[in-house]
Amino acid sequence: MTRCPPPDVLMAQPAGVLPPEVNARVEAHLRSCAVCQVLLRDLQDPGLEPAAAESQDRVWRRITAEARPRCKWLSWPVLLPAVALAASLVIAVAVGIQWTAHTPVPSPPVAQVKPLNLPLDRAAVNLPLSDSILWRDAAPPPRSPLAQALDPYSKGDYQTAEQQLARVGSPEAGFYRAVSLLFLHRASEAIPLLEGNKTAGSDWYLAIAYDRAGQRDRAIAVLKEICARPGPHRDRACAAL
Amino acid sequence: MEEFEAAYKKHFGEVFRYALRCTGRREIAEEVASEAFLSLYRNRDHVDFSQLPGWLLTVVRNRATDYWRKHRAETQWDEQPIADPGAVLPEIGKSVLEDARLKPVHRTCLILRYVHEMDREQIARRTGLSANQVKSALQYGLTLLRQSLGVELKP
Repeated sequence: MTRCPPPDVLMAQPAGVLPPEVNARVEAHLRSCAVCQVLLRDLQDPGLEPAAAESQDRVWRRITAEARPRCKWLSWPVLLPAVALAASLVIAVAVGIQWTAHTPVPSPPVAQVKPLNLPLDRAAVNLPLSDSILWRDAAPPPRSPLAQALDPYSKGDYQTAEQQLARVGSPEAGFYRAVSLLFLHRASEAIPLLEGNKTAGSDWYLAIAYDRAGQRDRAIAVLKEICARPGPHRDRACAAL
Repeated sequence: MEEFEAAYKKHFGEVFRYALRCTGRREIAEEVASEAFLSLYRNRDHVDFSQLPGWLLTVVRNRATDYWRKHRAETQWDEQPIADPGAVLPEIGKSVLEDARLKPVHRTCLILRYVHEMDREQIARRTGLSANQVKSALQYGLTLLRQSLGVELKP
């Protein structure tokens, strides 16, 4: 054993992948050892980097050899229970939403315009499959920023959700952010996010936003459109008119 | 499969180099890179390929972290604070670190040989250089040291 960290440990230190206590020791060593500082710098030199081409062929052969037999387990018989579980969770959440939908949410008083008092409930989270599937593989893929920002949303923490969703910036994030703003009684801020938003259900929430912002005529115009077409909010829209 | 193969060709270089920086060894880097691409292959229907190589690099990072956690024994060394590199390289001293005529490849071979006490074969495996390249790098470095310092080292 030498008095310096092994070269591979040294090289891995800047990547931040070493166990914390090892990382701390290597860092401390590096500060005091000129030899290791130089070796680390040299090992990172592009001239000493092994050519990737040879590895590329070798790794490709390994992948094609392993890919076929081992991907069998990712078949429907295996996935089915996971999908069933996910589906039942979705139903449970939906039932929960229906349950809470009748909790009256106070709307801001608007002078002279009688609000329609459209019921506000949390729009169900509808994420791409990659963010909701249960991964059997040891390494879960990184969750999308939208999925992460929707965690506080699903827990009803609209303040945090609104701030995080504002940073994501996609139309979908804008939709959930607008719903959060409605729960925070900031309807007028929700309007620009919902106007022209193509996310399913955004017209219903736009009607709520108009209604709460005191723009009753616009709310009614949107409700008429919803009522004229089949969709999840049709019955409620027709009832409100 | 075509999309996967195209992604492999496009991103292998970057993924492999990152794996190398995370593990410090070519054979481990290859293993980690192949695990990342296999994971992509198995999840190809659920992964947004426009998000690559970020997705792959995250898998590499996770696998490298696992690797070091499992191979903790290999991270050990005899910890004695080294204030003066001369104490480690008594014959070579600081000059080996400062001589502008030495390129990274020469310095690396010298340090691996005389600080880490590796033999030529181990150095070749560690650096990915051929045995002959290691031999000539060491010869060049030693000749230079002999000329400038008058020190004679066992090759």
